[in-house]
Amino acid sequence: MLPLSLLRTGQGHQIMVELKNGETYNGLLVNCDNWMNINLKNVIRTSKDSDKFWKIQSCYIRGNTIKYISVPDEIIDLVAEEEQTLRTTYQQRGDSNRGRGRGEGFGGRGRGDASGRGRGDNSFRGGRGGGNSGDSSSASRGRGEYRGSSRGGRGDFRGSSRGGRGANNNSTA
Amino acid sequence: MAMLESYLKKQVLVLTADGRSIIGTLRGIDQTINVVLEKCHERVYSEEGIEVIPLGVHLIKGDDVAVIGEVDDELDKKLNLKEIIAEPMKPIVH
Repeated sequence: MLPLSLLRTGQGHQIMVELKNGETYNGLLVNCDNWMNINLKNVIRTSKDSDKFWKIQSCYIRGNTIKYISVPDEIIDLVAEEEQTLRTTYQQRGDSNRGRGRGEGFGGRGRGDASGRGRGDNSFRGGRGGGNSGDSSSASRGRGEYRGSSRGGRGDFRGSSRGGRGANNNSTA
Repeated sequence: MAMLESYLKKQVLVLTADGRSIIGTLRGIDQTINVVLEKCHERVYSEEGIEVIPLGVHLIKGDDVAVIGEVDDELDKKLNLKEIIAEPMKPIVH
């Protein structure tokens, strides 16, 4: 679990922040960012020797002045839950990507050369229209025909393979 | 990082730049050595033995972390903290 995800999950909860200068800030965590800069609401600021107190409506604390942050115990469970749900959604997304990716893989091969071509073309044309598939199956022996038809296919393949790259990127990111 | 990850979910002792020692279960780290400790407590050394202050969940900034060490749980349980007398550590001075 990343410390910053803990903090992000802690938004809307009461936290205690100790600064490097020893002051502490107790308040509701409104917002935080990747540098641990934070926004607090309804704050009680306590001096280093815990002898002075200030009430502050809201304040912004620069992340690099923070020594540590104390968060309620239950936040850690919330983070675990969130991570779990994220993991399942990623898995689902990953599956659909993989499905799509495979389809495009055929297309790619079809564009590429030789054995793949026949497969990719067939599956694609089957999907797009009977006319074409008839073309390819009836005249697939002839080279010229093949090229002609595959040109038609290329646009499709490219378009789809581009989509595929995007999808793959998503899944790796 | 790789070395710290082997401490995840284990009991660790964090010595901070201001001379505190905080013990807890290491639940998270990042590249700046920000550290998440669960069920942690501070041990305050003094002439009257070690005082234990429960802290709950703490997120310690990497800037403030001086040392992270794995704690031998078995050995730690055998310690009688009230009988151990040591001077508190001084903060790091730059």
